[in-house]
Amino acid sequence: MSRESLAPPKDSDVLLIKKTSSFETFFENHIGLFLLLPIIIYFLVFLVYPVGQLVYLSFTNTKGVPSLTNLFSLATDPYLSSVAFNTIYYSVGSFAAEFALGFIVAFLLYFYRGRLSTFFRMSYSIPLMLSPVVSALLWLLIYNQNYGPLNYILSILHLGQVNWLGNSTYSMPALFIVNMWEYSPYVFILVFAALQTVPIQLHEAAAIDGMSRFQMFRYVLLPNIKGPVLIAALLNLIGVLKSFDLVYVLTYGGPGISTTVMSFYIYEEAFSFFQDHYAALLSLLYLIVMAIVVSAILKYTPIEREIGLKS
Amino acid sequence: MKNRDFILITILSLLAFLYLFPIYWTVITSLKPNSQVFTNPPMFYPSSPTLTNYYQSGSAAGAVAQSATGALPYIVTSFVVAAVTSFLSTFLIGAPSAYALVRHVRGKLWIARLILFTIMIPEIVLVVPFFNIITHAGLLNTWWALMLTYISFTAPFSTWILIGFFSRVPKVIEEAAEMDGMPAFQIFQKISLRLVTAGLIATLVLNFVNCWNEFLYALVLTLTPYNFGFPPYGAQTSQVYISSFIVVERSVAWGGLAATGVVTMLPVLILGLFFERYIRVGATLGSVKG
Amino acid sequence: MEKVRLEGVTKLFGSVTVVSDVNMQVQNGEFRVIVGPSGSGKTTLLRLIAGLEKLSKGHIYINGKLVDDIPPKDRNIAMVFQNYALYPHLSVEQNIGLPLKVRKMPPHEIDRAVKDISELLHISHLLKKKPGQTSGGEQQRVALARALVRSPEVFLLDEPLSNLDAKLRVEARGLLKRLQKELDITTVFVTHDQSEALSLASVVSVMNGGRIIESGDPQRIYSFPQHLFTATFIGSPPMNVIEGTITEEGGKKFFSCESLKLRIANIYNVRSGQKVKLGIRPEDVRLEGDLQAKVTVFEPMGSTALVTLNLGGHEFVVQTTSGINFDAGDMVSVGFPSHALHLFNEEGTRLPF
Repeated sequence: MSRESLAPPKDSDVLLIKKTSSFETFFENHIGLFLLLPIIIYFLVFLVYPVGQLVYLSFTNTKGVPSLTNLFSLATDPYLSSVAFNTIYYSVGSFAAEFALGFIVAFLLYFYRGRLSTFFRMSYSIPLMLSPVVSALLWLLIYNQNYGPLNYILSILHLGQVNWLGNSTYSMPALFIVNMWEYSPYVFILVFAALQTVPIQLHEAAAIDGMSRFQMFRYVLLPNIKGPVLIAALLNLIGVLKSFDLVYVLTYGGPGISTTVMSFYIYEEAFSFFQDHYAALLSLLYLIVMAIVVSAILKYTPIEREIGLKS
Repeated sequence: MKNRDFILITILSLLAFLYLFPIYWTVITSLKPNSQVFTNPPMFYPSSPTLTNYYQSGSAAGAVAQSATGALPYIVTSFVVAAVTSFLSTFLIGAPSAYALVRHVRGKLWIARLILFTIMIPEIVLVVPFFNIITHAGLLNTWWALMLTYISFTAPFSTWILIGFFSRVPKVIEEAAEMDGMPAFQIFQKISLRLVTAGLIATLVLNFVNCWNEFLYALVLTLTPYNFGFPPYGAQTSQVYISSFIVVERSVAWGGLAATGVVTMLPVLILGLFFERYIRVGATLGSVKG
Repeated sequence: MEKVRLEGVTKLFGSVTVVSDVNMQVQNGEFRVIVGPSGSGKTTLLRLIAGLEKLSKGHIYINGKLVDDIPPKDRNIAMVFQNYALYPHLSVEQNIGLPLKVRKMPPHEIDRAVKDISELLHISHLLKKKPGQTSGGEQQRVALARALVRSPEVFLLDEPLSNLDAKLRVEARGLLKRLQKELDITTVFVTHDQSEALSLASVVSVMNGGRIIESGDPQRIYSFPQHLFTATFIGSPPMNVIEGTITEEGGKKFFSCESLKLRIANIYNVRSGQKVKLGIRPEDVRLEGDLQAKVTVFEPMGSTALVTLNLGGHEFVVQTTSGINFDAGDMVSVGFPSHALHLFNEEGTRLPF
């Protein structure tokens, strides 16, 4: 078979100098830049400009004149310490509940390995898909003091009735429970998936070595899933710090201000009391605090190394 | 070992029951006639199930009643906004950015940090500026208001997820295409993009769900429901509709509201069921090695 | 004129030099195999020729033209990757036709070219399938077809046979050699397998530590290596090497170490007391002679056998077809014929005459 039967090159010259327009070549050579253009535009329009506006609003008064009056309001705000406390209480409580439950459920299902595994896995994932508003609706019915199934069950168990949403002692825990229900599936999904990546041989070798389930958990499984666990924790924490919807719908910051967290407080200042300049300062403050928290987590946990970013 | 397994199954079943119960409770509430919604003791099973909550509309004295059909304009809005934003974010911003960051940019660590910081920003922080911008642009209470602002959280999210998928495309395949003579953009469009279809589906679905469930921006930027007119005006979403009856009007026909809740839950649950595999892979790809 | 010329080609990744000052000329129609251990830089060198990596220093010429800044697609070369890198979402037919489609060749011409090359490689029956539905050997032939379909000037292969099992590997070797001859295509082939290098190449280049150690035709490389590294890398089982010194007695030159003293040819240009290394291939060691060694390991391998001997603390491997079964502990006679001795100086180059 001779070579001529195969398609000959178009040019006899070995170097195919394509005649393309200079724009096309420019585009090709800088394709990285062009592909990133949409997200760069997004950053400028949806982040840089709004944050810039926040700064502008924070340091001007309602007439548009530069002033530090908002800082003064911040310093003299009587509610601020309660709001800060509520935010921390809410975040830590919800996070602990979500994370603990999700983590435990992941391990329980991992040790099960039976035929109903898929059914269980899907059941545990479902609440995550719902919105906080819908979750609030669901739990509103359950939390109903006189007619809700929760109090009914409690009464059967002779544990007494609880005014979940009307009593400032129980209003926060009521929120914890809903968050635990709605977001533990996220922790569950990540931790469960991570457990499945642990090579089965490690598991079997441990079993042959005579390890108990608890020892397997501590020495084999846990070290191997550190990365995903840390990510799950980080994303969960961020999610709970951002939380607004649930508080608004279920308790509207109350009773009183027992569940007024920072995001809700900002909303009230901006849209109930029309103090958009003060709200802007609060937003800026909130943003800075979030940034500090996330930076601290990135710095002091091995999270980046564990997920393979750092070497 | 049998005893241990029995305990395990019992616990797992109990958990499944607890996770599913609130949904079950709402569904049966939506099927109860109004008189049976609040009873003492509560009815765990509707004795005379009815679908009236789903199609009846109108108001009763002293209480504002709504049924699922009254929710139609809100559902349409939620759907259109979620679908369009999801599509735009995934293909216009997420995919090109993720590909460029994986293949053409150095410094993966800083990129990941930057995206993480973007995701970390609470929605509330941007609400005040967004409100001002949208109002000045004259887009208040329109679909545009929502679609534009929803990009603020779907774009970095799409990029984050797709980075995981693009980084798993073997570089040699793209190099083979380069050797075969394909220009760089075609490699992206015809090779790399086709090899991450699972990731694209996961991103589309997750974006849709996140937009559908969104509440704060819809609450602040919209005032009235969709008017089914042309040009379209009014953009309150399903979530806002539900919340307005819980927060604002506290005496409500709960059966009808439960029905609205069920209808609002349904698309998301169906998506979750059908695309469960994609969602799971998409959600975990950023975190799990290998 | 040579088809491919490399001048002072150097590549650094950060502060690590991966390819160091390589000079090479590949003639038209040559089958050049670059062989070396992993980490020797051979794949990087190939990628530099392909244009997938940028040169840190030096120049590359194809057909006399400087290609340093020319992107891969314009160099008119084709490459087969170790894992074949077939497009999983396209059919075999589309995979092979892609390079032509990108060059905007008319569809009926593409069809003809694809059909022709598929017949040549015996994969015509696979055209409508997707790569995932074909076997490893078949995938490899598809990769070859895709590379050859546009008659490139230079054909590059990066360890294409490593992923095949032993039997397929032998078949593929034969196919590759026939193809290259028939199409008369200049080929540069990278491998870590020295037997592949010897069987396929018209010219072998041995590479280590980023440098080309030596080049030459396979027979010469094997029988008369200029460098100790080549001597020990090429040939399986590897050449036996002992360290010793040169001594002179009565006008005769000897190689001496604790356990043996061998007469070497006087024409060697060496001084007494010079430290040298002596090499001898397992098949050249005679099981008869003045020296006595103890058998430590005996490995029968069908028609040949490998016998590991201990001579005064030094271990040798002998390859023999004698058919004798030895036991560990047996004492045997050994001899080292002087024509089979390879002498290298301390740096590893062959001792001059």
